[in-house]
Amino acid sequence: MITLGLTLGLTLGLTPPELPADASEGPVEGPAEPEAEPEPTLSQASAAELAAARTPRAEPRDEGPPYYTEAEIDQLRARYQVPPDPRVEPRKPRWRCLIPDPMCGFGVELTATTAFAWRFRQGDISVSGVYFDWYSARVSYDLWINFPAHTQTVGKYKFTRLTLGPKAAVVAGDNQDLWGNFGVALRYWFGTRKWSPALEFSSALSFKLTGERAGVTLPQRSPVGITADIGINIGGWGAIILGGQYDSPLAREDLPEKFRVSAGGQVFVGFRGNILWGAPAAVAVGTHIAMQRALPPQP
Amino acid sequence: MLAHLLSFSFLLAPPATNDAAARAEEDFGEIEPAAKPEPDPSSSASTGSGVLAPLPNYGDDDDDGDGDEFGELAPAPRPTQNRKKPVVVFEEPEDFGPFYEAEPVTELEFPGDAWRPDRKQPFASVGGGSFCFVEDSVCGASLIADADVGVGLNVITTNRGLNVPYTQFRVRGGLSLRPLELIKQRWHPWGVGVVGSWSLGSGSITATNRDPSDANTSIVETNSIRSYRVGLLNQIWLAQKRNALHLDFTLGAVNSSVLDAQGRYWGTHAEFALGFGGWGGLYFAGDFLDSDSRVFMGVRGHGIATGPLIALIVLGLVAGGVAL
Repeated sequence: MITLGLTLGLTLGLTPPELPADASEGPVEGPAEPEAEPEPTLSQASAAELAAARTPRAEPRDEGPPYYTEAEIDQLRARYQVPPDPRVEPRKPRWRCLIPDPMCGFGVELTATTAFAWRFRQGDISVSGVYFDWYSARVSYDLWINFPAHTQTVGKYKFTRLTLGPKAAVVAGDNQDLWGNFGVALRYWFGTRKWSPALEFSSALSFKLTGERAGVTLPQRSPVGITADIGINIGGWGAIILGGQYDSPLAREDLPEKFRVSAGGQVFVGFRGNILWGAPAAVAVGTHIAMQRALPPQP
Repeated sequence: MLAHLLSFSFLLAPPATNDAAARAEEDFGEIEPAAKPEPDPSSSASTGSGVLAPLPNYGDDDDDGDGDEFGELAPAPRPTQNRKKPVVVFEEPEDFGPFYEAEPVTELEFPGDAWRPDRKQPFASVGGGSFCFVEDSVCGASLIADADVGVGLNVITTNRGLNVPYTQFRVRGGLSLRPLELIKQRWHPWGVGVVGSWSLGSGSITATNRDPSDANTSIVETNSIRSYRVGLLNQIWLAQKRNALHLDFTLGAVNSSVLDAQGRYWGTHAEFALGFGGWGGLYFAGDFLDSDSRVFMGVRGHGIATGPLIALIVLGLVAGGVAL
């Protein structure tokens, strides 16, 4: 009896399970769908539900990559003394990098400077103690070509911390003067954020291009002088600058007095901003116009 | 009934094998691996103590029976393929050197580069860089249009004048080609072009007295020096990267006034420049005319950048009542 019962049990156990009766009659139909409930609308949601919806959900653990949560990655990096993942989400640069930004590498920049200048000039050396000084304005339009000289790597991105490159400028002064200069411009960013401050320094060789003579503006010569300025920039939009300029004399003995150029210079404080946002260019042009019309001829 | 029971017992029984090792496993537990022969210390392949014994290989038939059991699963020997390998001849790369190598690939990038208009092709270019309005390292042909300010020396090589500083404003235009790049359809550092320029500079200091024994009497200043120049441009691009540096050599002719002489004269013009992509450049140049030469240097900027600055300056002068 025991063997009989065991044989029967094995036979029953090896028998395939019976299919439902309707399985052989037609295609299998899915379970009957429950009656559709009305979709909850946003206006019906409670404050708690909205807060819960705004809360970022944890990534599912077992459905696929990433197989580690950010907290686990941070723990792993801390274990091996690796700096934490910065998880940088870069923002969009302004004006396609035409306004300088730590997010940008190479850049071309046009700036307009309006400054208050204290000018001085030495007079005829044959007369003792001749010296002139006066106050006026200084308007400068600069072209800077910025190369990234030093960068900072954050995650998969690099940010410019130091730019260095050539610059050229045309400077307008009183007496219908135009001066040219060219040199080197440097900008050091103190951070990589949108409104990070920056230190600016530029130095250049300066020379006179035009001047007024008998009521007419004509090309003029001058020896090579120097000009330099230093400033604090905010976010690439503009900078408060402090600078100076020295004009070399042309005082050769064989040159008649009327062709000689006496030594001079200026110290200036002003604002230099990118012309793309309008205000620096408008202020510079307005100052230039007012300077030509209001200021008397100076020595 | 017994027949069913017996058949089920046969089903559950382990497979019968003739292998003695398998029988030993069934009776006494796991099989000890067969002892390997000790490596011969005198063998040249032996390194003495610490040598690694060769691992047992799947194809080794050290113990009988396994090969029979897994014979069908053993990998079949691959058919020998007598394909003739293509003959590769070493070709020396052209222009391989420190200056002409391609930009190294890096995983790092400036975030702002994704928004640059020149991220896929050179700035202001047509035809995928076949022609560019701003010079670039990969352009087949480029427009040259720039303005500059310069300063130097007016050198009078006779006693009819004085060497004095010279300053000028200049505009320049032209066209540059990269012939080998256009022909071979791959990057090449050489470029050639034609340029012309016009400048307005400070006048000379000259003596109107024709008496050579008293040259410095009646010294006057001439009118502003207006010069026209045409020249042949030779370029060498130092890198393939965007806004790469390039060396420009220009040789040509200059048409200008000479001291206080009537008329205009031709002389030699030469220039050496270091360009920063197509956006700017530092140049050293000279105009060499009869007894009147000018050597000067300056920085120039592309017209797209310098044009607005010139417009702002002219606006300020004209609106300020200055007679130009």
